Amino acid sequence: MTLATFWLISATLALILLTYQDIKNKMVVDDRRNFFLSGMTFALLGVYTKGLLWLLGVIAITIFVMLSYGFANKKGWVGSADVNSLSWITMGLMICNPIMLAVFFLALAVVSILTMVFKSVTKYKDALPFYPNIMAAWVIALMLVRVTI
Amino acid sequence: MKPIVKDILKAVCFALGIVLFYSIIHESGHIAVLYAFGCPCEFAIETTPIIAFGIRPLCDEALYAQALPYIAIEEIINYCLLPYVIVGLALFGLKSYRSK
Repeated sequence: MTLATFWLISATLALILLTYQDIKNKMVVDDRRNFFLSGMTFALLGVYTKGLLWLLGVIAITIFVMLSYGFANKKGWVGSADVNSLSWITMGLMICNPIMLAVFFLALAVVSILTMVFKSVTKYKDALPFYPNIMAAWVIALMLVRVTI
Repeated sequence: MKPIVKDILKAVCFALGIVLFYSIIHESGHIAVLYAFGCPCEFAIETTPIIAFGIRPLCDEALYAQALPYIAIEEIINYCLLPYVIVGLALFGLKSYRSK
């Protein structure tokens, strides 16, 4: 088992737990799991660093995602825990396989649009948990793309 | 729970993630942990984490193979199980708080 595989398994378990909490506790989750996985992801980055430019690229993309979803958080579209999760997911998938990251965000966009369509069709007014969307996109990315390291 | 305590716990969990990753999975991380806990093994010094984004360990398979006979299996089990215990305490033993 490679380090990347270990990270993917840990991340999947964490996302399953967070999704369960998000649904069960009405969008309230334990954020410590996110910080734990952030630590693991930084450790993964330390092992698989491929030069300064690559490192700066990974950090820049992660910060961009954090800022983008931070904006969405301020608007109330996603929760702060969702932003934390997406930050370490972005960094980790960039290290494992950048194509995997692209597939993940594409799948996340599709699932989010489907959720919005569902809400408008059913005229559902309340907010829905976002972790199921993340989990669905994660599963799609894992199924479609292989880890390259 | 006070916000500062929450932040400290988050920082602890972040650090534990790094410790777990290196000490459990990465082979040279085993030695680094042994060294961190005061192991007299001379090879532990050679595999002390080098500074690269914090704690990147030196990945030298030959050195690890040399060091292996000097490290008792009990020590490996004891020291490498320790992070699991710490992680267990931190994640499940402490009073749970929630945020979103």
